[in-house]
Amino acid sequence: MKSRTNIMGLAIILVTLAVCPLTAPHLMAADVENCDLCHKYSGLGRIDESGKKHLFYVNDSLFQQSVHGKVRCKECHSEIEKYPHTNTKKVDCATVCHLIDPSTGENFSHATMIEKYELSVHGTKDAEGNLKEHAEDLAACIYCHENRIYQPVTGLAQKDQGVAQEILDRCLGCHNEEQWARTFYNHFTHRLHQRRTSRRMVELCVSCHEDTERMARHGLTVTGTFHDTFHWQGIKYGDPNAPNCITCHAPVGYFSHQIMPKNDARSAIHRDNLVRTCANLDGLQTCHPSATPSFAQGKIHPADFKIGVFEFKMKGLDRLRKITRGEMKPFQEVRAQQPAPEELTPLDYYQGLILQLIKYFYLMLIGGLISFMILHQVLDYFATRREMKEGGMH
Amino acid sequence: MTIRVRETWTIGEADAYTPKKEEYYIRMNIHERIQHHLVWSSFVILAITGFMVEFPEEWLRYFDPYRETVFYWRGLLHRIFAVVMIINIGYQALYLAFSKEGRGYFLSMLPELKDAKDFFQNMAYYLQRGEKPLFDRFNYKEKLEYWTGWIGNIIITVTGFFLWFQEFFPKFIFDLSILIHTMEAILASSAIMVWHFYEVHLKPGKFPMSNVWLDGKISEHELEEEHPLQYEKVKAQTITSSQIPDL
Repeated sequence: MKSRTNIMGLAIILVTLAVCPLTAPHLMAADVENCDLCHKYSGLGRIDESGKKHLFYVNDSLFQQSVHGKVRCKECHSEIEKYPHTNTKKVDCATVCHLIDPSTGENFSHATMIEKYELSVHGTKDAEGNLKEHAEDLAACIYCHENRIYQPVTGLAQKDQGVAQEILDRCLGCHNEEQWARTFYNHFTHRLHQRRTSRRMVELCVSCHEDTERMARHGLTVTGTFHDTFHWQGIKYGDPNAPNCITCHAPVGYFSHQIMPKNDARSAIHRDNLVRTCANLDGLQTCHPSATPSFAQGKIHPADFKIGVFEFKMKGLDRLRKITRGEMKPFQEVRAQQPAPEELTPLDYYQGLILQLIKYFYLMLIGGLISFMILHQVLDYFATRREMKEGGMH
Repeated sequence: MTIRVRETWTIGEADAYTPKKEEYYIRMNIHERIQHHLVWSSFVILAITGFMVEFPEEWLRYFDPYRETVFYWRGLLHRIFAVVMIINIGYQALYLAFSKEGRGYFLSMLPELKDAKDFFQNMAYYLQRGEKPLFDRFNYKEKLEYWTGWIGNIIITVTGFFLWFQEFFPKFIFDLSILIHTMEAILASSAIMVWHFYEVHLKPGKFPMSNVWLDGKISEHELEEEHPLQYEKVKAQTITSSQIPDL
């Protein structure tokens, strides 16, 4: 078995040597540990005992353009001592790496960010430091952060993607190393804009928050009704001013890694902070600058009282199909979207009730009146035809 | 009601090219026609720009890459034509209150007991159980449409106002408004499509459309057929065509 591994290793080395001259030299330069030797093969991977596929392929040219492009593999995968190596542990994002943080002169680490995050509603530990219930449901770093490719912009007014050569040339006036200047430019302009579009942001958050079972485990209601709000209509049309989850849950002055439960005074959606959040006077988006306390109250993702005009039939049929197949219980969705009764104030409850009643009143009115009209006109059609046949008219 | 004479040509007969004189009546005067043009044009644009908010996502790719621009213009046009619609309501209200013709229009439009009787008699007629009722200037169908139009217009204007200036009102008013605004829009659009489009476009004898909304004219035999009571009154009051000078 061992000799076989050696032969395989030799073969890999030989193939690598043969391919080496074809590889761009500047890409090879960063990979001083030579991990690329194996990991550049796109088929590299395995299927583990549980049948899960693992892909170990690293596209070096893409990795170079990513936010971690300057970090060597061993900085994060620090326990690897030799190769071919065996199973590696999951990367701990709090690892201190050898990059120097220019602001402090010390080695860089994400530990401070993780400390803050652990205190938020998404953190795995409670105030006493004990592991929360169902901690495995909570999003760890890599749930939201894949190692992104830099998305530089060419300016502030027109945020076209790319590197503005004019600006880069200004850097290169003093800094001779172009690769360094380019990375710094990327790093800086990547941060100038929200790199996820509002749509992607909503998709990311609802990937957990629309999961009925998962939300039920944490005593939360699903946020599916966000898609009924006018906020979502704006996002659907790509309006840059339309708010996504972060716009309200972590506006200016708050931090997306420190989202707090809504009853916490530090939360942007706490009752006392809502006016400021809706007004969003410091933000880049224009929201509701003259918001009043009475405007900024009530549920923004309310229980499902809106009907889809064009999607109604499709949604209904889909639901019916699922119910007949036994994949879903009747009214399951509606129930999941209703906040628990004890969570509602009497005012919220009666307001919801009024809205529901108006919805059903209108549905009956529309159904009844339009059916009456259709019937009336059909009768009129046949009467008119009779009349014309008899020659009484025209 | 004024009587006028127009020249018509009868196609396919021996004297096809000699104009014939036919009597007609003005059913919609110039004010009513302008009001109708304003209301239908703004209604169509408001319905389209309004229901665009409800479009499923798959439809939106047809707007690419102009989605954002489309969304901006959608909102702007909706507001502009909402104002046109509201101004038109005011115009109609002033017309009804302050002009002689308008007051007459309003009085003939008021619902009365006869309309209920007409409805049942008409139902019987449809089912071949009775005679066709004799309608006056406006029949119960027209009155129903007119007054539901007024009610719907007021509801949708008020809720639209709350939506436009949402920040100054409680969130509950906003929730209520967005629900009622949508529902009322669905109701109004479908009612127009079923009730009005049939009556003036699809009805046998009317297809492709009745011309009253364009020139305001209704021919004598049409008036006699559709509004016999009014025809009798008008006939008794007005001079005949032979008595008015050539136009």
